[in-house]
Amino acid sequence: MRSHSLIQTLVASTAIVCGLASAAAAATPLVIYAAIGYDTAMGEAFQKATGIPTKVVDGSTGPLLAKVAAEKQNPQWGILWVDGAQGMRALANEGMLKPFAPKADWNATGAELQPKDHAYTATAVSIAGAIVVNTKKLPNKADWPTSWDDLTKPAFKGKVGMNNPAISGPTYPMVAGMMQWQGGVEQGKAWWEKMKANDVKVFDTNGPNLRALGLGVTSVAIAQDSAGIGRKMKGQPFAVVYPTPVSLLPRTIAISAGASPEVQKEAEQFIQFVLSKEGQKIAMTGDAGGDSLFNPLINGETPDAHLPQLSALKTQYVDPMVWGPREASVVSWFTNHIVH
Amino acid sequence: MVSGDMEDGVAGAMPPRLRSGPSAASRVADMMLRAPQRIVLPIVGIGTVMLLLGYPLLSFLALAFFPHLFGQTGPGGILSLHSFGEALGSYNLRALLNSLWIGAGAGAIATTLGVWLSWLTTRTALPGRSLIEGAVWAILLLPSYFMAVGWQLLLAPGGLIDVPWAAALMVSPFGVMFVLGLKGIPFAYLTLVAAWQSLPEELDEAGRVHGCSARTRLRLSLGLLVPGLLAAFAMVYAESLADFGVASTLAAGANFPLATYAIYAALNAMPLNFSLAAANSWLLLSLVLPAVWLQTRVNRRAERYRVITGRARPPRRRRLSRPMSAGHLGAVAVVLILALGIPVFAAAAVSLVGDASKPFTLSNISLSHYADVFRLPEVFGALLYSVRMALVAAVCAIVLGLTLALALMRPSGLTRLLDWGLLTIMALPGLILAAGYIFAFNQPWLPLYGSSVALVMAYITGALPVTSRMLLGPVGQQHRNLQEAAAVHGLPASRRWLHIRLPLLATPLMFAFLLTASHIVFELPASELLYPAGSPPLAVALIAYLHGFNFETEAALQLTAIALVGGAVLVLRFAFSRLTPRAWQRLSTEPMT
Repeated sequence: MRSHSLIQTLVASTAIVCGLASAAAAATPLVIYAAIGYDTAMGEAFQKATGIPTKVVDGSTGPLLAKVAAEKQNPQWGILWVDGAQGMRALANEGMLKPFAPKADWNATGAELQPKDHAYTATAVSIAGAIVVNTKKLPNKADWPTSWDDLTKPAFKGKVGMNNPAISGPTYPMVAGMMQWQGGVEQGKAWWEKMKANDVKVFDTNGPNLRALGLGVTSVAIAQDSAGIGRKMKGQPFAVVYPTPVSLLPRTIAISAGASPEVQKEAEQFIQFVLSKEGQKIAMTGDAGGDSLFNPLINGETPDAHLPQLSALKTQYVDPMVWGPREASVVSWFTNHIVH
Repeated sequence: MVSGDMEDGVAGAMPPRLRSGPSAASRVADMMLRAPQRIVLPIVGIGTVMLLLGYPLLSFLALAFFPHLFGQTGPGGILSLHSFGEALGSYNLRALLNSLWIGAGAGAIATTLGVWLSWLTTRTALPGRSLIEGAVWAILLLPSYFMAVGWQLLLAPGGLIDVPWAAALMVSPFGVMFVLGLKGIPFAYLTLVAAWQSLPEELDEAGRVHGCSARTRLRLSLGLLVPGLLAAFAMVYAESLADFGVASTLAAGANFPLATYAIYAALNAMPLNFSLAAANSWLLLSLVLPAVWLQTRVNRRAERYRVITGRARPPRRRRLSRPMSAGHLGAVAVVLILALGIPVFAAAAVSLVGDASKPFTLSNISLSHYADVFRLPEVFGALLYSVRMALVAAVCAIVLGLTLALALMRPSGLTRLLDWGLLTIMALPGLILAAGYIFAFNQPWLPLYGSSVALVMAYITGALPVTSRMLLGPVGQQHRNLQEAAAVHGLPASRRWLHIRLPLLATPLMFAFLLTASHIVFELPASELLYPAGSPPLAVALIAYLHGFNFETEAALQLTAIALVGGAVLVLRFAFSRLTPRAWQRLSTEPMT
C-alpha cells in the first residue's frame, strides 16, 4: 500500500513539474489571420522549423479585415496576411501595424511594391482581375470578350460573374483599378453602373464565382487570374483572357502593433521565413493550382510555367496611398449599388 | 445557486410550533435562511440576465447614437444620428422594407393555413388528423434554413432540376415569403388550437337552432376567433422579421436583402460598421416590438373575453363527408409536401448524386458524400463542435433556467424585472443579441469574443426563456407541504433535492434538455457572428457549403446531422425510461397531464 501511494505521489509530482516546465518553456503562440491558400502549410513548416507554436486562422479577406477591425480594442492576431495592399494601408493609417523591413533580395517588381514606410511587406504578386471564359459555353473564340468594355455589351447580359469586394481580397483592387483606368471614382462608378445594367452576378469569392462559371450559370467571370489558371490546370473548360489593363495584386503581410513584443519578434521571424528559400518553396507548392500560382518578388525564384510573363501584360498599379483610404466608401457604394 | 432554495426550505418549512424556541438568535438565523430565495435568487437571476443580455444589448444599441463609444471610430460627433441616416440609405432601407412586407405576407399565409389546420384537428373527425399535429411539430423543430435550403438545392442554378419558371418563382421574394409563411405555420397553429378550444360549440348550435346560415355561423365563429387570429399573425410576422436562416440562404441567393442580413453584412464584411449595424437593429426592433406587444396584449385581453360556460364537455367533432375529407386530406398533403416533403426530398436526392456535373439518374447514385462527411475532418468537425457546444450550453441553460424558475415563483419587483428580461430575449432577433456580444465582449476588460465561451453564453441566453418557462410549471406544481414534511422529518436539504424535488422534475428537465440541446446544434445567427476563428459550427459550415455551390456536401452533412441528433434524442429518451426509477417518470408525468 505504502509503496503504491509513494509511486502515485512520485508520478503525480513528476507530471506537475513536467507540466510547469513545459508551460514555462513554451513560447506564446503566434496567431496568423490569413486568406492565402498556402497559409496553413506555411504555418506548419514555420512551427516545425522554429518550434514557435503557430495558429493559422484561415478566412476570406473581407471577413478577416472586419474581424481585425472588430478586435481593435483587443487584438487577438499577431500577423495578418491577405491579398491586396489597400486594406493594409488603411490599418497602417490607424496605427494598427508595426513597421518591419525584412532582409530580402528583392527583384525589380518586388522592390517597387514595398511601401516606403515598411508598414507591411509584399510577399508575392498576381493579377487582381482577369476574364475567365467557360470554353464549353463559348466554344467559338470569336465570341470571347477581349476588352473590359465587351462585358457591358448585350451579348453578356446576365452572363458575367464577379466577386464581392466586401468579402473577396483581390476584388477591391480590381474594382479600384477599373475606376483608376476610367479616370476617377465618379467615372468608375458610371462604368460599374453599366455592368449592373448588364446584370452582373456577384458571388462571395473566387470559389463560388468560378464554380458558377463551371456549372454554366455564367459564361465568363472576372476573377483573380491564378484561380482561373488553377482550375484550368485541374481540367475545367476554362481559358484566361487578360484585357488591357490588368491591375497588379500584391500579397501583403503585416505585424500587429497591438501584439506583445514577444509575439512581434515571432512575427518578424515568420515574415523572414516566408521570404526564405524554404518559405518560397512552400509558397510555390502549398496550394498547387490555387494561390501557389504567383509571381515571386525574390531574385532567383521563377514562377510556375502556366503563368503569363508579367512583362507581356499591360499592367497598372493601384496605389494604396490613394485607394486605401477610399476603400470603405467605394466598397459601401459597391454594396449598395452593384451587389444588391 | 440552487442551494439558496434548499436552505430556505428548512426555515420556511418549519411550522412555528416546532421551532426550538423563539430566541433572537434563532430568529436571525431564520431570517438569514429565508433570505436566499427572497433576495439572493432574484439577484443572481437579474445579475445573470444583466451580464448575458443587458450589458451586451444596451452597449451595442447605444452605438447607434454614440458612434465613438469604447474607442470606435466613425463619422459624426460624440452624439450623432449619422448612422440612422446611413441606415435609411438605399440598401439598408430597402432591406428593412423588404422585411416588412415579407413578414406581413408570411403572417397572412401562416395564419390562413393555421386557422384551417387547427379547425381540422379540433373540430373535425378527419382521419389522420394526428399526423397534422406531428408535422406541425416537425416544422417547428427544424431550423428555418433547412426549408429554404431545400428549395435552393432543388431549383437554384446548379441545383437538382433546371426548371426556369419554377426557379424564378421560388428563388425570389415570393419564395422567401412563402417559405417563411410555411415555417410560421406552427406558431399560428398552436395559438389557434387554443383559440378553437376556448370557443364553445354551443354558440354554433344555437345558431343552427335559430336558423342562421352556415355563412353567418362561420362569420360568428371567426369573429370570436379574431383575438387568436391577430395574435397568430403578429407572432408569425415578428418571427419572420427576426429570422436569419431564410435571409442568409434563399433570400441572399435571390439577391433579396432582408433586415437581419443587412445587420450581418455590416458586421462581417468590409467596411466593418458597428454603429450602422446598431442603427439597423433599432429600426428592425421598431418593426418587431409592436407586433410582440400586440400579441401579448391580445392574449391578455382574450383572457378577459374568454367565453366561460358551465359545461365542460369538449366540442363535438364534425364528421366530414367523404369528398370533403378527401379534399381536406389532399390539401393537407400538398401543404406538408411543400413544407417538409420537398426540402427533405431535395436534400436527400442532392446528397446521393455521385457526380455533380451529371444529371441525377440511377447510375449516378453514390454514398460518397456521406463518406466524406465522416472522412473529412473539417466537415465532421463542424458537427462535432456544435454537438459539444450544445451539450455544454444546454446543461448550463437548464441549471440557470431552473434557478430563474425558482426565482420567478415568488412575485416581487425584482422578479418582474427578471420576467421582463426573459420576454425581451424572446422578442429579440437572435442576430441582434449576437451582434451585441461581438461588441460588448470584445473589450480589454472582458475579452471573450473569439473564444467558445462567448458563443456558449449566447446559446445559453437564447435558450433561457424556453428552459425557464418549461420548468416554471413543474416547479410551481411542487407543493410546499412536500418539502415541509421532509424537513420536519429531519431530511437534509441535499437529500430533499435528490429524493423529492429532482425526481418530480426529472421528466421536464429531460425534455427541456433535449429540446434545448437539439435546437442549439442547428443554431445559426449567434454561430455565424461569434464562432471562434477556425472552428465553424454546423450551421456556419452548412451555409458556407451552400454559398460555395458545394450542394452535395451541404445536403449530406445536413441530413447526417438531423439523423444523428434525432437518433440521439430517441436513444436518450429510451435510456431515460429504462435507467431512471419508474417512480420518477410516473411522479413527473402525473401532474403534467
